[in-house]
Amino acid sequence: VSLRPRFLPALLMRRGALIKTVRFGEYSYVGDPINVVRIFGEKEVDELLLLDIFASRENSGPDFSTLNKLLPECFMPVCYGGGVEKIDQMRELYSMGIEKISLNTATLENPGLITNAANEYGSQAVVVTIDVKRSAFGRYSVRRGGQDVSRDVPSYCRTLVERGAGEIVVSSIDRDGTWAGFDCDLIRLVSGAVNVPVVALGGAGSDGHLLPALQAGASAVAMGSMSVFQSKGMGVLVRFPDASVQDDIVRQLRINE
Amino acid sequence: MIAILDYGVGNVGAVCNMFKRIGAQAFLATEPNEVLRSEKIVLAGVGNFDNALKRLDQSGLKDPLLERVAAGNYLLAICVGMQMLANGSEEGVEQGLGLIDGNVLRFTEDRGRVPHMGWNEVNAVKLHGVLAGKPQEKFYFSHSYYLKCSDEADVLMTCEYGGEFTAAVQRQNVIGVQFHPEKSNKHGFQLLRNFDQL
Repeated sequence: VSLRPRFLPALLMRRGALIKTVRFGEYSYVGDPINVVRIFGEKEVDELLLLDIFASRENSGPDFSTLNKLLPECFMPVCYGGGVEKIDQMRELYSMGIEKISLNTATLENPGLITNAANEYGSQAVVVTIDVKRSAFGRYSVRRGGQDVSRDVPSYCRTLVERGAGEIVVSSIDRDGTWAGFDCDLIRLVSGAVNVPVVALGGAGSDGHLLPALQAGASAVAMGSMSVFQSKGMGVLVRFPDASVQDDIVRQLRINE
Repeated sequence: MIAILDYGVGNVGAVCNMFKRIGAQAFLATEPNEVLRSEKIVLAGVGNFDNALKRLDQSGLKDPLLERVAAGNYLLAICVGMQMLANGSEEGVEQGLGLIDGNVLRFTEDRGRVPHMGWNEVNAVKLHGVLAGKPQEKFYFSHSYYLKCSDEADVLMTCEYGGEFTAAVQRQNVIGVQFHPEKSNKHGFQLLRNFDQL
């Protein structure tokens, strides 16, 4: 029997508030992160993916004061990403009680950061999130700031793992906030290229979208919009597939193994 | 009082937070005499084997820890802490604490994706107070290495990941868990409460 996949809410932060984007662009306000994290704790989610997507864009570094308030509420594993550029920031985040830190843009300027962190904290604590865009011709590229970083996603991911990444979050720019389902071709491409766990992010809109992503090789499925909104374009509602829904998905996944 | 060794390798804050949540008296210990006065000790951490052992050595807390353990005080070692109990590790060259006979090995790739990351079920293979109230359902794991005991009698819990591995060890007053009770929600509450009540 394979390891049970993880089901996780992906929460986006900006200056201490929770928000949610559509295709990395326009965003709406979701609410106070502490309340939302508490609710997810009661729902016993497998893990929390907490991304401060503006911390690197606005060059502000991790928002330690918000995290300091938030982490005492987290009795589940937390993967934090956003504005992390230096090993000192990572040390502080780990000591605050974060198990895993997701690096993103910093890995371009400073690829050694992955290796340094893995040497000090182990690969299981170092995650890299890649933002991937699909072209009109169906070609994938790793993007950053509106530009291609790599057009060979599998080899890019293998390099990250060689440097010490212990998990890769594959974030689909095209699917972000669309409720249209995961980009399973992309998940298959990445999970086939590496032997570390792969987290699928971007596009989850219903419970029915989860199984295909897991069948495509994801070890975990992250839900952004559908974990904080009633439905597309509707108001805020913290929700999450309950245990029976998750069990059912796991059962179906294992039947086909 | 439970002294949680604060020796500079991460997530000890989360452990302290969890003990406080269940109403236990716990604090982060940075001074040798704090360790020497404590009733129980927790050795946690997120880290590479060599780095964690070097940091423990530099912190000056290693000798007080060993002294308390030799005096019979309970020790709970979590994650890399459990690995540090062994004699050595494939991850590095440092000598382990030698409190549990065995070595730390890396998961081979035929087991599955490495690191082993996520919630997995554990099986208790012997009885111990720390397992009271059936906390042994599932816990959160996040590791690439595991401790292989030389003496089977030291194995407290096992887990499956492309084959069996040791999820927890216990020899006399020394207990080690590979998973993260401090991040395992209610499953972890119970285990830490049990440790507090030993």
